[in-house]
Amino acid sequence: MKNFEEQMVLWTDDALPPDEVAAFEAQLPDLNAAYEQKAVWTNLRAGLKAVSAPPPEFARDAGFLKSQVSRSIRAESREADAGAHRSTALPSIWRLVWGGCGLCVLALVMAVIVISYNDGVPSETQFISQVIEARSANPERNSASSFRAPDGKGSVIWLENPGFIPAQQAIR
Amino acid sequence: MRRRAIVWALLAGIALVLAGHQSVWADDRVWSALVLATNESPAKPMPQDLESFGDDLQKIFGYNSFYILGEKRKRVVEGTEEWLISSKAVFLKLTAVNKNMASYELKLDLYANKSLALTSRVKLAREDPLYIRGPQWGNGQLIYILQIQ
Repeated sequence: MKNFEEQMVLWTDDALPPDEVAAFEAQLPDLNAAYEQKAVWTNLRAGLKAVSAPPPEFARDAGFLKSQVSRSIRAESREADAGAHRSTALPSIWRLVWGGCGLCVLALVMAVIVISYNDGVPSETQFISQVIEARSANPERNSASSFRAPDGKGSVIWLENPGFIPAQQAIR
Repeated sequence: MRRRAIVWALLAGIALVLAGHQSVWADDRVWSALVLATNESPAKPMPQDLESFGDDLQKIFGYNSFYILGEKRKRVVEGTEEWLISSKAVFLKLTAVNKNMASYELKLDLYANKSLALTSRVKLAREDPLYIRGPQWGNGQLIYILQIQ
């Protein structure tokens, strides 16, 4: 003997034996409300079946569904691998240490270069030849002076009364 | 692998910079010439090696013809003495005293007739020559030209 709830479920699913339907419906306090509720459940069940049913192409080709599932799995695997690679690509502490040491050495070398260059930066006058001192070894006989060339290119040491070498004496 | 290549490239670049810094002076030479200046009619053409000095030589010394009696190109080494274009009658001794990025400080001693005639201290800059008026020889004038090249 089924209880009321079991009979209600079977009636709603149209699974109650026909000879028990009339007796069950006679027990219902409001038959119209019960039929409305049955109609709502029938529609809901049909909607759920439509939603959960696979697309027609799946039904036609089971291999297509399998390939879709495999592709999804591969995509997820690639994402997982990429995440793992990113985690290993992070610089380790040793890489940071070596990188820091390398940069320190580079900075030191560059500093040496810059300092060595700046140490010898010439002033403008150092690009001009200058006579610091010019004196005759025999002041009683001759004298020495200096000046810039007339057009400003070159300096001149001018030895006055520098002496004479006879033409007959070979120079070379 | 790529990082190692970058490091080696950086080191090579630094080495090149340092080498270039050193080679600024390594190739310096003092070019010197003993020149005879005379007045001739017509004037003789300027020797090829004196073409860049021609106008200045004429303006400074007042001669119109010039002959190169000898020339020499010597590397400049600090603290060493060099005899430039020694001849039978005139000698020029060069001593490199100091150097900086733009010029050399030189001590020059000119000997004429086997005796010291002139002693001088000069800063010789690149491409800015030094002229020294030497003794007379016959109708001409002996001139020394020095230039860093």
